[in-house]
Amino acid sequence: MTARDTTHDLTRTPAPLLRRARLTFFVVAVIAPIVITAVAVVVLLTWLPTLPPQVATHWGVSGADGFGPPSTYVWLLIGIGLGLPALMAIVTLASVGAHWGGAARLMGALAAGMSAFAAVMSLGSLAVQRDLADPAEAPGIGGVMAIAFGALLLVGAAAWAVQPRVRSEQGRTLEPRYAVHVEKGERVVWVATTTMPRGALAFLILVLLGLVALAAYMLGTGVEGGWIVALVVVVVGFALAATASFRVTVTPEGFSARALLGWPRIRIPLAEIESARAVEISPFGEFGGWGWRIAVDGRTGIVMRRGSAIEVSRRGRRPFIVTIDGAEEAAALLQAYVERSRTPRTPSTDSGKATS
Amino acid sequence: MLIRVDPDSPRALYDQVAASVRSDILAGVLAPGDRLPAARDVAEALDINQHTVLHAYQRLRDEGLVDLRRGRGAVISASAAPLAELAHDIDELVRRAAALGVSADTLAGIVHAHRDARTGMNAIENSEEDSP
Repeated sequence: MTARDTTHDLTRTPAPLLRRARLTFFVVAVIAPIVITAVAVVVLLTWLPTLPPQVATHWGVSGADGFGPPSTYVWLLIGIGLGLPALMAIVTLASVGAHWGGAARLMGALAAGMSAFAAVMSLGSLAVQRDLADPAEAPGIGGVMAIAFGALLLVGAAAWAVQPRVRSEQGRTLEPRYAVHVEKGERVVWVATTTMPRGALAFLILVLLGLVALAAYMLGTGVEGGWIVALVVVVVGFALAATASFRVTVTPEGFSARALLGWPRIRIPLAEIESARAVEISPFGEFGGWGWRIAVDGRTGIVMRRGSAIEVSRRGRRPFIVTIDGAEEAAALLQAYVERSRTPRTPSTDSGKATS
Repeated sequence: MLIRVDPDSPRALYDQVAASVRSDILAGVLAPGDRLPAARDVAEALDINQHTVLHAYQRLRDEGLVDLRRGRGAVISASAAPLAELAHDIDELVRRAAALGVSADTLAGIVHAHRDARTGMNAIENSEEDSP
């Protein structure tokens, strides 16, 4: 028990490694997209004189069906090649903080890959139309898209490789500030609600709205796969509604957490609980994000934010975690019930727990 | 939020729930703006009637410690803030009284009588009209 607690405290990310990880992340997720997009924009601008005033900007199942001025591609390039990676970089840097992990590395790789994708897609779409009299004769776009995805994977993989591997930091055990005493015959319960931070909620709603727009656009223009996006929207929307807020209770019967919708829910009877403690966890480093999650080390949990969490160790199963304000108090109460159930009918002569 | 009740105690359950919340305000665990858990959830956890919890919340509202608003639930009111400032003084007073052999109950009785005597001076606003 003590040994495990100690390792939790000692596995902090070394500062030089963290600095290197942040620096390489900045290079691949911010500098690389700026360079790639700048080069692509310059190339595109030199092509402008050779392009017809109207070019194909959208392809349906049977060839080009949407047209616009070539400058459309400049905005597309800047939006997908620079705006999206910048957004990903800001969100990652803001949410990860000092708790670096594999999830941040993946975001960096994705940001770099995204800019390569945008550059190849925009330039490729125009390259096949150069010196074309009628934009309606634009050839199919399948080849260009395949190359663009290839560029995404290639650049993404390279960006992943250059970033150092940082093992996600294990949560630190919080000092038990409270020792909750339960008098004989007394019923002490702990009730609280944990809600997603407003910023995270706003971001997720924004993402959801983006998906809705994408689904509507894809369904409206008859692009294949539109219904898949629509399905994703429904699933994501439901998941968001189901996991935005949880009510957590600790009673003499055990621990329970329930989403406001009533599902998902979990109930851990006291008999199944080995111990309870408060820990400090980082959503990105340990769980790769927020929501109802499974960590790399097998712990499941409701992860709403960085900070204090109740960790319930279960008999024969992986621990369950929920981030919540006042976790120390809740864990202390649960631990008190666990200890009481182990030592039945013993008069309280524990001298170690003197009153404060 | 930790809530304690003792079903065997002669003290009314609603009074115990209210006292539990009050002591959290006193200890600074609950601050103005903090939301109390829904009465239904508390009742379920404590295995008592929901109306008992609501009764406790109403009692706290009458004391000016919480605001009860439809749809928003029970929220610790701004006027509860000074209570935390008194916490230390009350702690000291109870301890000194105990050292002198005066029980907390006796002390409470004295405080009560004190309040009754000074009712005219103390601004106890039991105004029932709602704030705008």
